[in-house]
Amino acid sequence: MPADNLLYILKYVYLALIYLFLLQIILLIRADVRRQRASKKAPSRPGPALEIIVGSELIDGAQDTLLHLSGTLIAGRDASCDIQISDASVSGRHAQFTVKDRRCVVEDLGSTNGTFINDIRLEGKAELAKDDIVKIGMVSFQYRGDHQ
Amino acid sequence: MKKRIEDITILFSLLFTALVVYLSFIQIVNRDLFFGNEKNPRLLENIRYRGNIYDRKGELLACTKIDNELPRRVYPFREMLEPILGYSDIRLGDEGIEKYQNSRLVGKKLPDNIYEAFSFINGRKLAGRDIYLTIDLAIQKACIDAMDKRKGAVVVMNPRTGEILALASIPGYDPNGIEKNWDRLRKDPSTPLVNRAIDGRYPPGSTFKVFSLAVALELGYVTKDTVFSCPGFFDIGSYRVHEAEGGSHGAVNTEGALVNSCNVAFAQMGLKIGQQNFYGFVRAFKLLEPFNIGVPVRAATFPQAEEMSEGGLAQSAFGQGSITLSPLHLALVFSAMANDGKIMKPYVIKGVRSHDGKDVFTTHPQVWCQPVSPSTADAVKSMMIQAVERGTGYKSRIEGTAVAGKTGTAENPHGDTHAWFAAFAPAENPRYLVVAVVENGGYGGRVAAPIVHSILQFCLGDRKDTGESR
Amino acid sequence: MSKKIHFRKAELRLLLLLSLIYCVGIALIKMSHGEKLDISVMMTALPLLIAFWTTHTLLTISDSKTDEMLMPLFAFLSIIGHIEIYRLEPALAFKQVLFILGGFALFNIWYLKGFDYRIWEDYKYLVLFSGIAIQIAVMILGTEINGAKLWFRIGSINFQPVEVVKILVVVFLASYLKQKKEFITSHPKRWLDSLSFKYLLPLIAILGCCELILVVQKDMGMALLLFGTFMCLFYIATERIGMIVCAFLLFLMSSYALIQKFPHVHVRFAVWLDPWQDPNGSGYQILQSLFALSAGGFWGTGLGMGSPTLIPAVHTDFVFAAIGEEMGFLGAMAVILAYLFLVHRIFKVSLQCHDEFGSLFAAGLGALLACQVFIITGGSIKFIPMTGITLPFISYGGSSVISNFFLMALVFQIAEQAGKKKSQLLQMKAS
Repeated sequence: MPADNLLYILKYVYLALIYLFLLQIILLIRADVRRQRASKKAPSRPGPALEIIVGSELIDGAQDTLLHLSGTLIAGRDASCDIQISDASVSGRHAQFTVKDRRCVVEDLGSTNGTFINDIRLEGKAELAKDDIVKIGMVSFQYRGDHQ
Repeated sequence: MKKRIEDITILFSLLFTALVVYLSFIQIVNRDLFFGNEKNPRLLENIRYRGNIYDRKGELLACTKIDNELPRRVYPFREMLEPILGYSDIRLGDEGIEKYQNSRLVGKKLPDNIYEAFSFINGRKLAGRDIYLTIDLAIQKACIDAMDKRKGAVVVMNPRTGEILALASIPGYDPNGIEKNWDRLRKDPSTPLVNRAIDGRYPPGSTFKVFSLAVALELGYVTKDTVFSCPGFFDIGSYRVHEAEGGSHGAVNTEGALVNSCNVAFAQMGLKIGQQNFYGFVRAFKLLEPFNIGVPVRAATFPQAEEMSEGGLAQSAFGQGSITLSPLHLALVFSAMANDGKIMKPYVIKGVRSHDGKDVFTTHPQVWCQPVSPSTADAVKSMMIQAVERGTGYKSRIEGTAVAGKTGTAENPHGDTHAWFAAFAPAENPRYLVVAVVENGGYGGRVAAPIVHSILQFCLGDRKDTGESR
Repeated sequence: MSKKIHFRKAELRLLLLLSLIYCVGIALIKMSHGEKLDISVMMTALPLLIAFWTTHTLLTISDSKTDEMLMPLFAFLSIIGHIEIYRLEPALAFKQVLFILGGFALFNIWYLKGFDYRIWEDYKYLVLFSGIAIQIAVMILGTEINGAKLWFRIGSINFQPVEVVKILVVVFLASYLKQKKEFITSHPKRWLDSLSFKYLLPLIAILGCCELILVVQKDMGMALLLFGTFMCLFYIATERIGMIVCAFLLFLMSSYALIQKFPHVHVRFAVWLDPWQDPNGSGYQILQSLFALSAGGFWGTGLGMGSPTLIPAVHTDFVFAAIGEEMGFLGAMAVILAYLFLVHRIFKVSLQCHDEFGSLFAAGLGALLACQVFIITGGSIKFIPMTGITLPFISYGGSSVISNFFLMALVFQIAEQAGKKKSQLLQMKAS
């Protein structure tokens, strides 16, 4: 009889342990979700930013659609580019964004199909004004200007 | 694209949830449906902890014995209680009471809920529940002895309560070790596996005149003093109603018609009743619906009102035509006459007890329907008494007790007529109602009446009043 | 750069719990046989315990950036798997341990080798055709078991190549869809897009080819699995619901045709609708499964206390029913939840992956696993018709176990890259 009793109790212990395990997993998932939400709500960092309005899935490495600009960023198809765009119509090194004194200048690096600002083909360099739309291949960026 | 991945995640969550819900239906909601199913081989374990079956006095009818670790179902009284008792076999499944009361009989190995858990930890086994039948073993034995190996069935019930005291079907079979005999039993042309008492379907013959009489009286188409003229035949269109053996009764009143079992008179009665009424009363007597006495009983067969010709109606009035019913159905009709026009719900399960003796469930007598008025029932009853005193049923007379009964000699396409007799006694306060049918046995009065006589005598004779509850 | 050891604490806690669960499970089974509890419990559990603690250590040492829940989840399932096999077919239990050990070994080697999964992308046609070639080889040269030629027999080992081929097909699908999806999605969403058909048709042709092979091989489960995975991947890649609806309708029509034409398919379908028609013949297996599940009830009969061995093929196709019987509804639900969490974490990896191909690949693997679990579990409980595929990590079978560990290794690789890229990005943003 005592062996039977132990068997009987262990049966429930076994189930309890399994659910304890699952509970831990649930808690970890919940913590993970919370962490995600927190990082999304992170206050936008000041400084010039580009928002990807079309074709964000073509850009490797974009966590969200807002790209903060600093220093020199090169956009193109090459893996070495800072903004890597998977688009056949985009050249290996297509265009360059330079930030200086909180202002952003975009330069076409001799791309085959061109860089367009507000649908006008860019020759050489140009400074971006707020809400300008920069089109590189199938991707369109909108310049969000200076974030405060 | 991210969103779509999230969509797919949600899709799978829903699919898996559906799985879990469906699973809960099998394991929780409808659990008994699957678990108690007789095809479930886990019933071997159930046989180990299966409850016992007793008759109303506590005689053991079925129990489990363990032979070399293997549990086996044992039936001390062999064929006597088959097929109603049934059997419980791992390979063949269950039948009879063993089958239909399975969920009550089934026991378990480990506790299922917190209440059972306490008793389990204290060393109590979780045996199944014991069932007590309304059947009286001694009466059952008397029925089998009276039938003396002739094919047929006997039903004995208490018309005041609906309790079924005996349910004999001959030939029966020995359920012990049934797997060994199964093939032989299945192929046996005398069909021992069929429960003739409830599943047999015979034309009732003249016993059904009791029904027609009751309906005619109830509707007022016939009174005690109505006179019928019987020249030995009666023509309905091109169909001619005959008397048995070509006899004739001349002028008979209602009572005489029943006492002498006059077909002509009843044919005329039938026509007066009409198809619609006839059929309506058949339904009122609960003959057309399946019911459950502890095991299920199928409905009897009657031609629909629209399908009945005049000739067919006349035939139905004296129990021929396309009517077929079981002895139990006939018993219900007769019980109305024995019980002021009321039919009590028939039942075989007296009660259920847990293994340590606690009452779990008891069946209480219940009025099922009242197809005819008390005065009609009384009138029919008194005529039935005469049918026994001076009529075709005289072989069932008992010294000192008024017996009310009716013979039946049913023509059928399978050979000799079926011999029927149905009676109850003591007539003023009936405690026992007996219906017997001998398949292809000949004349009801000659063959069946003596059988009922000896059974009634046994019931009334050396037994002190045992009709009521335990 | 000094390397700070990142202790995978959550993983550690989970593994401790798992070790306990494992030992209790083995102990329960031994006790149900009436054996005394002694050191043999530890001996039986030891191999797997060593396996996953070693993996944990290796992950910690290699500073893996992967999700700490993934390994404990598939370790949990492997443990439940071994416990069940130990209970159902003790003779095979040792083999199962070997398979699981092999799985863990493969996992560690593959993952630690630092293979770049992007290579798959470049060889997608090679991958596809080798997969198809293997299937055809099995059809011709394979051994027939249970009426289907799905196996290679080498010595005493049975190998079911379709378990690996299914992953290869996912690789192909992921890379093809990644390449072509731009063309498919770039056109406005019109019903009949003749242009996009140019790219879809080869895909449909290839898929049709695979399905055909499976139908000929009478492996309906795999056919269903591939189809389901394809639909999921297609939706993720293109969001062309119209196409999916069309494909689904095609599926229904072809199923109807199959049910009429092939008796063995018809039988499975008929038995699903009404197993009581032939309770001793074709319906026997699923009925036994239902009886087993009902016997378990809410809490289960207890490990070793039920009769799951009454179900034919219980250690392969119907393990879930055995779990349902002995571990009850709670146990069965726990297993389903574990799979759900595992699938969810795999999709999380897919979400976090920055590389398009990696994202699709991981999603494909996740869909593959989820579909497989759904199909076999649904079949065991009569939710959908029964098909003969295995329950990942739990069913007995070397090919199944090892291919699923391989799947997890691939997921880990993708997760690792995603983790690396993420920390790179963080650095980029910071500078």
